[in-house]
Amino acid sequence: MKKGLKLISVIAVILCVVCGVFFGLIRFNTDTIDNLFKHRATQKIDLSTVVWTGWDFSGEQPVAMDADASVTITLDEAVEVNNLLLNGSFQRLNSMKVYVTDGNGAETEIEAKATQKNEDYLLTIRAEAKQIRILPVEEEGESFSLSEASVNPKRVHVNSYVLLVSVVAAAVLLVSIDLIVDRAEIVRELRTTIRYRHLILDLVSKDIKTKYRRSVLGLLWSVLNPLLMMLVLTAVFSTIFNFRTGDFSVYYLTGYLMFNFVTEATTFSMTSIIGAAGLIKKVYIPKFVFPLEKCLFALVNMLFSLIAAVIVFFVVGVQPHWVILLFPLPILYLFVFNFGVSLILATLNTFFRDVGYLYNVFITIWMYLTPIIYPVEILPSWLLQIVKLNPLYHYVQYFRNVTVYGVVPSLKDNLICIAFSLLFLMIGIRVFRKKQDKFIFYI
Amino acid sequence: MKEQLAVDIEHVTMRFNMPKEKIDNIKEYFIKLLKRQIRYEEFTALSDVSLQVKSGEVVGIIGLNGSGKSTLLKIISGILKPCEGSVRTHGTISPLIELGAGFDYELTTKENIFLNGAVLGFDHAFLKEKYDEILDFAELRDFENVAIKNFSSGMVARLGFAIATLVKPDILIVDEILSVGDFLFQQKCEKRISEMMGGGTTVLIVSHSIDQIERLCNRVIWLEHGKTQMIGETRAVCEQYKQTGRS
Ligand SMILES: Nc1ncnc2c1ncn2[C@@H]1O[C@H](COP(=O)(O)OP(=O)(O)OP(=O)(O)O)[C@@H](O)[C@H]1O
Ligand SMILES: [Mg+2]
Repeated sequence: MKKGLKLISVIAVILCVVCGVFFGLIRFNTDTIDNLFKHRATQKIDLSTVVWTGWDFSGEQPVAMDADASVTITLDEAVEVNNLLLNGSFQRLNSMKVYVTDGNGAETEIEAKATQKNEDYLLTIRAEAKQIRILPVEEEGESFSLSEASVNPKRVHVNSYVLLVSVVAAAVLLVSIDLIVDRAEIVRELRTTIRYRHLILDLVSKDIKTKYRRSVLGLLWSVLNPLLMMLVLTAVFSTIFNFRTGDFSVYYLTGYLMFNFVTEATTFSMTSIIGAAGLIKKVYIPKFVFPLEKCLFALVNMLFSLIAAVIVFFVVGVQPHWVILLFPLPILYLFVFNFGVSLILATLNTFFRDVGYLYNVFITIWMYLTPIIYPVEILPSWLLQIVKLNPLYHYVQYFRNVTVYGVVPSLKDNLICIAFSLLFLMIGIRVFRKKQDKFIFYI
Repeated sequence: MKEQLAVDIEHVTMRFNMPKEKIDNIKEYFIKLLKRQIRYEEFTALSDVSLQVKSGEVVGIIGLNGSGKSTLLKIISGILKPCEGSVRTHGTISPLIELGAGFDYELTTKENIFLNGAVLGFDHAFLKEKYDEILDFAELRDFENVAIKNFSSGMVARLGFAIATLVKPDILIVDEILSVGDFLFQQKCEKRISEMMGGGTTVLIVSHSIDQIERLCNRVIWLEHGKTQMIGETRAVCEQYKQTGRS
């Protein structure tokens, strides 16, 4: 029974990963895959609509009359173009200038790379385009003919979704099969946890008391701390990044609150098991209670710090939009994410105490990979791609969109956040449950 | 129909891996792993122990020091996980294995009652209600606002016992804790345990006092080096146990 379930889970996980890689990473030239995402399928271009400007058509191939001879391709609608496939004969394909016109009618020159693939020439264009204008020559007399052309829409978004979703599915499957196998134990843990809800609340309030013991201002520090940080950083950075001062303080504060929530929750949780050694050795308490309690403590701190945000919003004069009411949502997503990461870190740190030191270094790097003090716009696109792999990027942007910019979050924004939260929660549960029985020998 | 088992221990084996040196950082771990130098000294604290306890029974566990009694109780209460075999329990458990789990020695009696109570799963309202009863039972009314670091070990044990036995559990697990208090308090504790037994609570008790075991238990299991030496009627097992010391 157990063996069978394990086998099924392994097969399911392999299937998920294979599907994810298949659809997510490999790019196909055939239309079969494209048809799955119909609205994003390859778009053939009717050559009669192509406009040739400044070419001499008297010979076999169109020959450029002057250095500005161009070819303009207009698409049915503005799409995120990934590449333009050209079939024909060309001289000097590498020295082309490419201009794209987006849906709003603004024309910009973009960098486009051309590669030859069998008979075809592939022009890689990463931009939203309604119209593509190509200047294929630098000198007169060059020739350029076209027998077929099509654009491939950018499929990267769809791909990364599929990849993320299948990885999450794999994690959920793996863990849920695990949980089914261990259901007796789970029921017992949950039952005792319900009995221990008072303990959790007691521990949280004890933590709060200890944190602010012997400080005159007490809990007020949760509000003052972010405010002071914000003042200092606003003074330094708002000029560097050309922000209006008010804009910067709000921008920074929202990012800081979210990031601080993560660092507090995870660093507190990391030592929670070791800190609870006295209890764990003496009574049976489900061990996940300890990281959970620390995450709740961090949540309370975070909610208090929100007062700072409210104050600054008033001072700066942020126009409240009804979407601001959605602010608990990103906090909830982040809480789940925190709990997952905390379970992993608490486990690792119980066995290897130096994880704590490594994590401190990691947090510094993590902070720079999250748009807290710098605006997202200054990132070059390759760096932005990397930053987007950082789950925190999505939570922070979500929180800002909702609170500061009054942007209604899309389904996609929600899905990404939920996927990251679930993924880390599942990994956390898995790791923690695998090792929790051994904790007692290492504390 | 089979009678309801309160505790069902089946072929439980517990081994402790004792690494020869303590490794707690990654570098050392990997170096040792590469050199294949992680050596464990395996120690079998319990081997293939089985015991079925019916609801309402009082079972004594006896054996010399280090024979695995406390380990067995910890496995029953869920603090330790057995390496092999399984333990099933039915109902709520009050483990009196180490009293005063969660006591903060810097805090006062009053604060510790609430702290330890929460650790045992009681809520505030309930503890408030029982507050006087606890103080009276532990006879610590004069020390209500004294930090327990200033207590004698007997006084700490009393407080722990008073809180742990507030409610009548389905299964009570007692490990030698009665030995710390003075004889008056011991009598009081025994009385409380007897009351619980009268109320149908299943009791597992470890004690080095054969007298006590003979007085309280229906059945006794005798462990020796982690193995079941004998299991059965209180009188018969205790007689045998006493013999070993003499020969
Ligand atoms: N965490 C542990 N790590 C390694 N060995 C342990 C651990 N806990 C117990 N042991 C070993 O298991 C054996 C049984 O211990 P246990 O505490 O169960 O004995 P006991 O019967 O309760 O003895 P006593 O009468 O002294 O209370 C001992 O030899 C002890 O060294
Ligand atoms: Mg013992």
